[in-house]
Amino acid sequence: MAEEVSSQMNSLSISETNPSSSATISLVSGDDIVFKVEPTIAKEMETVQSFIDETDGKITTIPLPNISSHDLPYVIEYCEKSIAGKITKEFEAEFVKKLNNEEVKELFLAANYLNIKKLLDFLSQVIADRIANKSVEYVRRYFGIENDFTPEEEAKLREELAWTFTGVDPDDEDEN
Amino acid sequence: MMTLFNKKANQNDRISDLPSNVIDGILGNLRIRDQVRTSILSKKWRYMWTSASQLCFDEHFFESFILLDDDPEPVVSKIITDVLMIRNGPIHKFSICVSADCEFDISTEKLNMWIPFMSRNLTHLKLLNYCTPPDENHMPDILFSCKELTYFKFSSFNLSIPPNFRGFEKLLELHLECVEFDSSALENFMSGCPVLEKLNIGFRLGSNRLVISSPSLKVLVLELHNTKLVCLRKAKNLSDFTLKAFHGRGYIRSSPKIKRFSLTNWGKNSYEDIIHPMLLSRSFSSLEYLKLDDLNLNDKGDILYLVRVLESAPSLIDLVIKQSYKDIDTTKELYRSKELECPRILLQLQTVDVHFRANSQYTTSLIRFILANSPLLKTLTFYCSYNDLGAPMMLNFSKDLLWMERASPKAQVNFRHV
Repeated sequence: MAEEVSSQMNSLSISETNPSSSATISLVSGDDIVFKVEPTIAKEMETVQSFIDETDGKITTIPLPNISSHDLPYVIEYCEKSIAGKITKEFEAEFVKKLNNEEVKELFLAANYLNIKKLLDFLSQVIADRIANKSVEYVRRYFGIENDFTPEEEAKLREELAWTFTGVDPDDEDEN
Repeated sequence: MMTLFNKKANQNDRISDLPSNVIDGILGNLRIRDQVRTSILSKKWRYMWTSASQLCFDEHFFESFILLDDDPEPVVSKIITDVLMIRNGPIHKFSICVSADCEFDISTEKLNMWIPFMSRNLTHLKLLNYCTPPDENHMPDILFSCKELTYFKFSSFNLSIPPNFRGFEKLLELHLECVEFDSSALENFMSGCPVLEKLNIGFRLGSNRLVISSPSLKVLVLELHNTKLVCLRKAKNLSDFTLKAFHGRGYIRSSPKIKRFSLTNWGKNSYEDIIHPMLLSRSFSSLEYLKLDDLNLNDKGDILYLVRVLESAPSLIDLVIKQSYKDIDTTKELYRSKELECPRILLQLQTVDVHFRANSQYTTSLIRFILANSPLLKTLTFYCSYNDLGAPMMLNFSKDLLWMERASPKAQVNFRHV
């Protein structure tokens, strides 16, 4: 683990050369892009904050190998709004409008990984809304779940749970 | 700490491998059908839903049984029982909301069967059934075994309290919808809820007195028909009060700490019947927010009452007035109200919102009064439909506005089209 961190830091000399940036935290995405954020933003991300605390604040460059540079700005944007106390229904509606299904899933995983409770709760609701009333096949495709039931097992289950199938929407052609 | 995901595993399906409490977050936001249907996704998902801590049988669930030829009661009842039997782990939130046209009775027998599955961990409980007349059902004793409740909403039970009632020590929020009760039963109930902060009583008919005696209460919402007296004196910490009154004279004996007050007068009675002018200054001395719904801007009595309220509420900052839909008659000859021209009082108002449908001279007089007496006013906003009012009337009204004296040099006047 320690090696991994130091190797990441060597490759990121940019953040070390500027001493005035010591107050900011550098988040490094899985594809090696550095995002500088205020320490208050890092506080919103429990995983990052506990990392900083463990090293007594000496290390301010945090590698986040599971999060891509495409998704990290969304996470940062949400955290900024959250600190400013500006998470409104309108903001959330706008925020989620920009995201396709794949991005929602990626951000959900990122929020879980970074342990940002508010974002995780919000995205749980978004995912639930997107799979509500959808067929079993649709939800499998949505999550990328491989069906490991035999046709007989599945038919039996469907029969037992017949009451859950009323009101299911027909699948659309254009998903995502 | 920075564990990498195993990228070799199924690239697409990274959700299924998340810990169950994370997936529960998604499942908990699904309706019951969608929730249970996830058990067909894959073997990993087979029993995943059984640990979600929220279980909600809502109107949507009940609606699909309306078209059944047979009586839906046994079918629905069996599904709920089966779901509860297969459940695994604590249930924190449970709700049953029967849709209006589904004949289903949330009976004592059923609750006696279901509640023991969850009573130890239940914090939120909602039991709503608007088709059963409340006087037929006594509140089942089993409900009093849910000691951990922080939120409790129910309808259609007659509020009756067992002799060994020990209260709900953690209850913060109580909603009663179409519930029959004596004021003394409610007092008794509330005395067992030492931390109750919010009480909402919807559609309560009749009864002469209603005493709200909970000292911990902060927010109160009442919808009353024909109730004559509401006594809030013992609710010493009440700060937010919403009253919707249908007919009936409701004298409010108020508590002095109310900061927010919303009043809707749906009946034919005047505001004076609901809160007597003599009681205004005692009730409203701390008031910061006031909303009057259904105010008749064509009625001099209503307007003068509002002025008395403003005089009695020296700390009022936000005022919202909504014109009633009744008695709109633009052909009426318009009067200026002399009473509104004279008084000079100091108001602390900062924002005033006026929702109106048709202009009347009283509106103009009222606005003139507010503008002339509110030196701290920041915004005055009119919400109106331009179609309703018509261009000539709008122009006249705007002209009047331009001439009005303003005590606050920075007051902005806005129009919002609705």
